[in-house]
Amino acid sequence: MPPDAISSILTGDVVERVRALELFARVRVEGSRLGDNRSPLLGLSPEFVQHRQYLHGDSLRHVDWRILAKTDRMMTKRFQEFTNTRVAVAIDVSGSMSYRGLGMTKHEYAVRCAAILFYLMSLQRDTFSLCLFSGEAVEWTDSGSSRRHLAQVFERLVNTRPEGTTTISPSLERIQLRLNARGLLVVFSDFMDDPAAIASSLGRLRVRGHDVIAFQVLDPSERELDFVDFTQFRDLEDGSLLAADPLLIRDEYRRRFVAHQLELKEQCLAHGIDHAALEVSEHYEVMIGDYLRRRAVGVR
Amino acid sequence: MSILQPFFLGFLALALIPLILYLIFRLRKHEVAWGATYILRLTINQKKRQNLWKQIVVLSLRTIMLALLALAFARPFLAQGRGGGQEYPRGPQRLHRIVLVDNSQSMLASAGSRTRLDDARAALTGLVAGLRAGDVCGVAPLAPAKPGEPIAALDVPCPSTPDAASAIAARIAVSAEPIDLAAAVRAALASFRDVAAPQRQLIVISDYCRADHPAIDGYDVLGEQLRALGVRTAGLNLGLHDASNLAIESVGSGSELFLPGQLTNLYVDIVNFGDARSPQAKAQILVDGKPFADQVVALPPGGRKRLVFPVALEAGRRRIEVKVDPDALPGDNDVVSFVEARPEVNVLIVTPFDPKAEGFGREGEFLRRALESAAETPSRMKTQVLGANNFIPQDLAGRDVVILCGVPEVPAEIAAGLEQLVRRGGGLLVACGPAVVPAKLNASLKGLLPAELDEPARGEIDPERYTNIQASDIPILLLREFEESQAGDLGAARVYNHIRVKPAPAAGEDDALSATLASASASVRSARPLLSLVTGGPLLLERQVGKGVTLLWTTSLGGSWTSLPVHHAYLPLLVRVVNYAAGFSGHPRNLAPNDAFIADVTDTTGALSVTTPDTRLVSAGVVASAGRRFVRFEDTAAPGVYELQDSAGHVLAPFWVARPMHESDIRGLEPAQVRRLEQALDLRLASDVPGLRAALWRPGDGREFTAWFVLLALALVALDALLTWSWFR
Repeated sequence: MPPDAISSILTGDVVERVRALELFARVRVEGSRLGDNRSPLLGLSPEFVQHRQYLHGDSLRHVDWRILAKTDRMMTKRFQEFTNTRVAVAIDVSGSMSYRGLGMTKHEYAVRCAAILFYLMSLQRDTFSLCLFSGEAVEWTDSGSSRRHLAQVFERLVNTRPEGTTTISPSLERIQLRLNARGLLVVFSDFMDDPAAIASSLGRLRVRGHDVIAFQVLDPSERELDFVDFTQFRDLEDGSLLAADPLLIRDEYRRRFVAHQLELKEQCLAHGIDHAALEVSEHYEVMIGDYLRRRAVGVR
Repeated sequence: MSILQPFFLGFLALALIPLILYLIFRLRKHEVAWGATYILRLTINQKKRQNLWKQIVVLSLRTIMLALLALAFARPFLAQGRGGGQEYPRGPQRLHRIVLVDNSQSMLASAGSRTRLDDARAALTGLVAGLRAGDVCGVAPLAPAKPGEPIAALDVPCPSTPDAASAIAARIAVSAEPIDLAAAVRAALASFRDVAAPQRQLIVISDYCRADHPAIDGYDVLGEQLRALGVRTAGLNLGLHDASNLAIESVGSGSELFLPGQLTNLYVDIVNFGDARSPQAKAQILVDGKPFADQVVALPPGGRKRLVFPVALEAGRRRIEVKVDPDALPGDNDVVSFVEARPEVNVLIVTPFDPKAEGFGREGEFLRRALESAAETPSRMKTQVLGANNFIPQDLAGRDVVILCGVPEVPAEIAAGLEQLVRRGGGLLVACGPAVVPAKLNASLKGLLPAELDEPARGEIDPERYTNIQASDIPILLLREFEESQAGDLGAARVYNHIRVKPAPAAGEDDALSATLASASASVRSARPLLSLVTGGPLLLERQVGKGVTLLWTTSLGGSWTSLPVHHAYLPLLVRVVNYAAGFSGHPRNLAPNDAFIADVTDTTGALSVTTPDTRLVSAGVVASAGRRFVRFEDTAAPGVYELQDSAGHVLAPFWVARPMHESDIRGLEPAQVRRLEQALDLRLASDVPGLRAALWRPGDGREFTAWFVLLALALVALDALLTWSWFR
């Protein structure tokens, strides 16, 4: 039974349904113990990878006797090593994530999605950690895979309040510094910044061997700008005011919004990063489940 | 381009509504917490300039659209032929225009520095200037210069110039006479019939005071004739319908003769002839130019108040001037009254018996002592008591007043002397009493008595049967103070008996001198009661005879038939009556318009002249009669102060001609009266010159742009809808 912090985020039904999901890294990851993810290392497993010239000291157990019999060459069989993965879930907790349309805020939505992933990691015995970034601050929790660690992460999630400003690219740079071993990085954010800069920062993580998933959390009302009267928009991050007649700018705003999403998606694809838009109007479990199923098909 | 309905130009302010609404909505903008400000900021920065222009364009469109609608309602038009916004509407054909201008005294009312007459002249200048060659134009004042004179029209040469128009307007002079609109319209109709012109216009410029139009129904016939001739009729109403006008209606004490040092009530009647309540104004009395007393007065529209100023004058001729604070019509805010405080009044008392033998018990001596005690220093009643038996005509010499105190009869030669005395301005007071023989007195004083004496009301005196004096509604100002019970309680006096009277026979012909001396106003006065008994019978009657007056007291002056002598009112009443009777020896100095002014100039030689209120110097003719020389001056139509002066310029006698009060009434016509007037004369009344243009407007007089403006506004509405749909959906 999940502790209180967990039950406050994930209901029993959701937990049951999440058990049927799985998440693997698409790249080879460096785990600390046996798991379901491919390791860059070769090891003991039924899955043959290649032959290698026998070297002194190799175990005779892996010598391919058939090749030796046919070619008189002594070759050793190499097998794939499977390991668990290190998963870091980074959540944007800047002020813009506190936007509330008709339902929950983007932050609340991101927290629930992350909770599902954490729970899934816990089931897969992957090592996971939580990263909260906002402005200059990047806050990490310890890595772990135990139920106790899961409870701690959930408690942290529950007690987080979105505030402050964020420029996403520098935050991603700071996150990169913390990620030593290759693993999976999941980022939840609205990515309200320059798409090229965001994709570039995420791309650098990808180059370093990390598998990166960028979840863009959106509220449909943000996309519509569905106001009639002259409106004063207060920036949730820095509190600055922007006065505008929505009727005059709505078309251009919608066009720009869609263009921003498309560009972000294309940039992520170009850098080999998974991009998925999560709309708060849809149920988070459905959105995450769909994504994981699509991903699972692509991985294996 | 000109405007037919300038009132609607005020609606141009409505054109600001879109801007005001825009600003209101901007001020009322609601605040929204927004997450995607990154994209919003980019959008706003890119669209800032474009959006500003869109807003300016839409706001301008809506503003212009409303302005065009306001202009359309104001009915802009371009007159045919000659351009110019000041031109009056007219067709291209020959025009016959007649302008009737109110030149009565009420046109001197003003709402500031400009009088109604100034505005009338300016409007007249505009109407006359710019007439074309071949047009016919006539200008006529509505009031004649003098009573009975026909209205003199001024011909306007056409084409006319602004200078010529101004010159014609300047010739409209104010008249003291009331206007006669019907006569002026009749004259205009005759002129229209004489001239063949396709276009006919009649314009009446006036303040349309209700006092000038007592019978609007009478204009119906004129209206029918105007319609039959196709006359386009319009009026310019220059009345100030929110002004008050305090006017001094009358000033007087009932007599021009005062007793020096004696307190006498001066009555000042003030009326508000304006449409608005008057502010508090100060009514001030000046005696010989020096402030004497003042009171504050404030009256509602149509309100009237009588102010009472007790005055005591020093001996001599005095100028009493009453002023109220200036208002819309300053001309009626001051009135002058010339009075005389004569130091000595010579009174002869004639009794039925020898006064020396009578002692105190007889009325003659009682009366003498009463009069002398009541009017002692500094005034003096010089009295003498004579027995009827010792009375000879020579005793009348130098007398101001003769009192026949219960005399049974008057010998013929005495009666002739008395008549001569009265006709020259003396006063005769005939008092009744037990000794009076009515038939004999009627016979001897025929032609002098105000009424024919009948028998006494009672044969014998019964202390239980009496009547009282009616102490209310006293017609003569001099005695009006006795209406109040605290002023001697005249009404409490008992009258035990009195002589009944019958109407007097017709007055005889005046002699030549009396005719010379009688002023116009005095000649119309006949017998009238001054005091009455509560039973309705007269107590004191007056009859003007020649220049003087005869008074008949139908009961006794002493205590024989009345208890009046024991009442406080007795002495002042007696003095007032004697004072009144003596007040006709001089010539009246306070006249009505067109009354003759008469002055005795026997002691003056050389040419005489009179300065008029309008500063003219008019030669005054001298009439010689009965060895004396008199000036009789009849050119007194203009109200104000006149001064008779000798060749050296010394003022011999000033006099005052009162203003006619009907011109002080500047109250405008009631709305119902205006409608009736417009209906009767087919007249469209305008309150200003642009309105007059609109009233004269007929289709065909020029090009009206109302429809174009409406169309343009509708086009802008469509464009605005299109842009709004395109930009703001």
